[in-house]
Amino acid sequence: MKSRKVFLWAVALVVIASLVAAGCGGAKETKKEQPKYPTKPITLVCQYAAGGSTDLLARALANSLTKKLGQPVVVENKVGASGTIGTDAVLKSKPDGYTLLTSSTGNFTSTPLVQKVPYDPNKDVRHIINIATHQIVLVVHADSPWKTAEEFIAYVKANPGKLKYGQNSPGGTTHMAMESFRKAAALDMKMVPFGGGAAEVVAALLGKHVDVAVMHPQEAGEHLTAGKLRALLVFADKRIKPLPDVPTAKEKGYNVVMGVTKGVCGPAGMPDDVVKILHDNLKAIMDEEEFKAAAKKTGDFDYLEYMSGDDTAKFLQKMYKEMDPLIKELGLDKKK
Amino acid sequence: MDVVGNLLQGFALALSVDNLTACFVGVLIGTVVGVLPGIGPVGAMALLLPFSFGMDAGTSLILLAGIYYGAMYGGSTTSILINVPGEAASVVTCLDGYQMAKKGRAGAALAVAGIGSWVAGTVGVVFLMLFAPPLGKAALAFGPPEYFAISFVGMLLLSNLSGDSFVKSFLVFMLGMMISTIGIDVLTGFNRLSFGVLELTRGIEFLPCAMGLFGMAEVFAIAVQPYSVGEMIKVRFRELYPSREELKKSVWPIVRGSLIGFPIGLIPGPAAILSSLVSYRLEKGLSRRPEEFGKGAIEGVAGPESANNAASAGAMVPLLALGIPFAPATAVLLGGLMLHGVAPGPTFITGNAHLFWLVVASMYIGNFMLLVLNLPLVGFFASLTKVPPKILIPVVTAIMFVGAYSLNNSLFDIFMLLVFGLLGLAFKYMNYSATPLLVGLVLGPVFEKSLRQGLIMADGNFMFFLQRPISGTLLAVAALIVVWTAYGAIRKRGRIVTGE
Repeated sequence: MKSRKVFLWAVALVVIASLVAAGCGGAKETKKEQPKYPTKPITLVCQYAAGGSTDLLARALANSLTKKLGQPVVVENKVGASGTIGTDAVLKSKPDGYTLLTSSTGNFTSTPLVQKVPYDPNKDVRHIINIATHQIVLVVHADSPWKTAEEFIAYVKANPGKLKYGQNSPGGTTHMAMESFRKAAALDMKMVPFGGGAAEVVAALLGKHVDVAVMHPQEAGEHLTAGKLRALLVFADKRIKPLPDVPTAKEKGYNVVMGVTKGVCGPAGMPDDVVKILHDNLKAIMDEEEFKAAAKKTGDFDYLEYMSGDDTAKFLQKMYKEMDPLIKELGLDKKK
Repeated sequence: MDVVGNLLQGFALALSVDNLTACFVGVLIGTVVGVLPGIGPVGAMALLLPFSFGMDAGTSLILLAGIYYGAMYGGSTTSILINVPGEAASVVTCLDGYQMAKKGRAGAALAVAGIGSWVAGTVGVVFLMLFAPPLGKAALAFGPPEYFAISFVGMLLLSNLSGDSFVKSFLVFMLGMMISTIGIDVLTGFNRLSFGVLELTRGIEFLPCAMGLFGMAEVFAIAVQPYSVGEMIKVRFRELYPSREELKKSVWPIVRGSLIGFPIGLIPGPAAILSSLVSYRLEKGLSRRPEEFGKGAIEGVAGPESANNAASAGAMVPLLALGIPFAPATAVLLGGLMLHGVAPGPTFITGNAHLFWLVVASMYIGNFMLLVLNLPLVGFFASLTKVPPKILIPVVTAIMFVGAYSLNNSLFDIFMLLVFGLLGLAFKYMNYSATPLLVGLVLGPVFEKSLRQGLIMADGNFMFFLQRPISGTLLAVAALIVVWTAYGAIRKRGRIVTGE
């Protein structure tokens, strides 16, 4: 009798366990398409790890979009291979508007240039909207002798090959921004690559293991405010809201404008009316107080920048063309 | 004293109904995801992030942190009962915990793991409370050369955890290091050894590999010889709890595990796994009966299970003192904080003192809740060992499949589980221990990355590693280990020769 009871308990436990696990997995069955959209839950795939900046933005968008559309929008993290796995999964999915992707610059520019990817970064995608653009800054330790970009550039020119610069996305947008700047200003520095997010490169800069680093401003945010790090240059078209005193590279005569765009896209071939519904709702969300409050928390607020789907596509294609020769010159496309 | 006053204020806030509920829900979810193989604290925390939108910053941080350290309690359960690590950090618990279960001592192993987790968790919070700011600064002194030195010492100490022949375990360790190079190279972005398979570019993940080598291999072994596992162990209820002798044996391993786990938690990356491996190695080294390890020594459960809890408190230090997450789970915690407009940074502890002390207080409460939650469950879990294999094995297999799939929502990980299961079976037949492979898989990336970064920094000059004080000292320790081991081996051989 007793062993029977134990067995029943075991079965119950397993059933609960499997249910929980299945729930975490996220259902992905596609039912017959109906004219009205949306009639069932939408999956918003995030190609980066949970808790990262793209993921947080995705969750804020999903939260607002759920209320707008009346159907649950579920964030699913399909992580790996610099986002290629998640991007590929969405671009190969049924173009019915029920599987969407948080678009990020790298997957449509640098990554396809550096690695072999199983999708066409220009043809297989339909960009719906751009929500935010994250600029890139050049940062040094507050104890360093360089107070301005000019002092820094003069020092590097006087001491070629002496300084070490850190970056955390080999072949990625931040790396490319630094390399175009290095080329434009004819600077000779050693590049020390870091992996695993900006945390490592920020720690290395704080610990003075590298002399200078490139990153997104919010990745250094608190350390800039607390006066532990100092931003010298921003690689943007114009000065950015959070760092009004930091000059752009353009002002100093180096035409380096690169940034990471964040928006929503889906597979090519989505019906135009579905794209319009999504675009209009997302655009409306950008003006809502609730989303703005969420964006303040995710760190996107200062960087919110609306672009239509077509403009986003053009912007990304332009960056793709600029990076192509740079990546070839650095020999980063070897393994294609 | 300042600390006492702050802490009391923290307790006053943490004992509100909202915060107590959040703490309880957090540790409960943590225990559940810890018990279930595959789904880990990182996934669970990420899933709950959207729910925390509506809570205030302190409450949501209590909830998320509860999941994180709660998972360290549950992780040992499946390691002990079915040889499947529920959490990466509990791999080493399989070695002796499962052997104890086979001897009918599952209850003792589970109870000691629970008590050890509580002691270490509490000690870890004390350290966090007292030393977070200075330790945070100290962590910054560690750059690539220092991490290389740490991983080098780790390699020497941990590659032969099972005590097999050195050549055999080192071969398996090297295989693990090689497997760790599969996938996109984080330093250059190049694809390595992926042979055009997209899923391989992600690299071989630790959990499918560990579940395969331990759990799946065990399933295969039973499937190959189905009639050899007929007999069941009869366990009486009173025997479910540890005997006085078993408790006595566990005291020092728990203390040592708590003390070494915390500083190891400060290392970026696989800190929790490393802490449990180091603790196991230490206990084995100190034991008067090292031959009992791997055959069901309770010290091999008590030490590591304590160490990984202390490490989870240690991992909070860089996050709270510097605002830099060194581990994936603390990265999600950082995300949770930022969602509430609290950006942790160098000024977090002074600028958001009430929040810091609230979390510290809630961690004391949460650890106590976990003990109360887990000890009564020991009897229930331990009685699962009485389920006949013909029922248990298919169920275990299903749990592993679901667990592997849930990691990345990818069938590829189930395939990996089976591949490593077969490899584990082959190891069993050839009398190789699988643990060095996992050690190689954990240490490989740290070793490779920090060596290459260090060499780039020094223009290829190896002396650079010796010139820096911390890495130089660590490498000197490594040299001593090599000399000592070689001396020991020569003396042993000399004895055998004279004996003959």
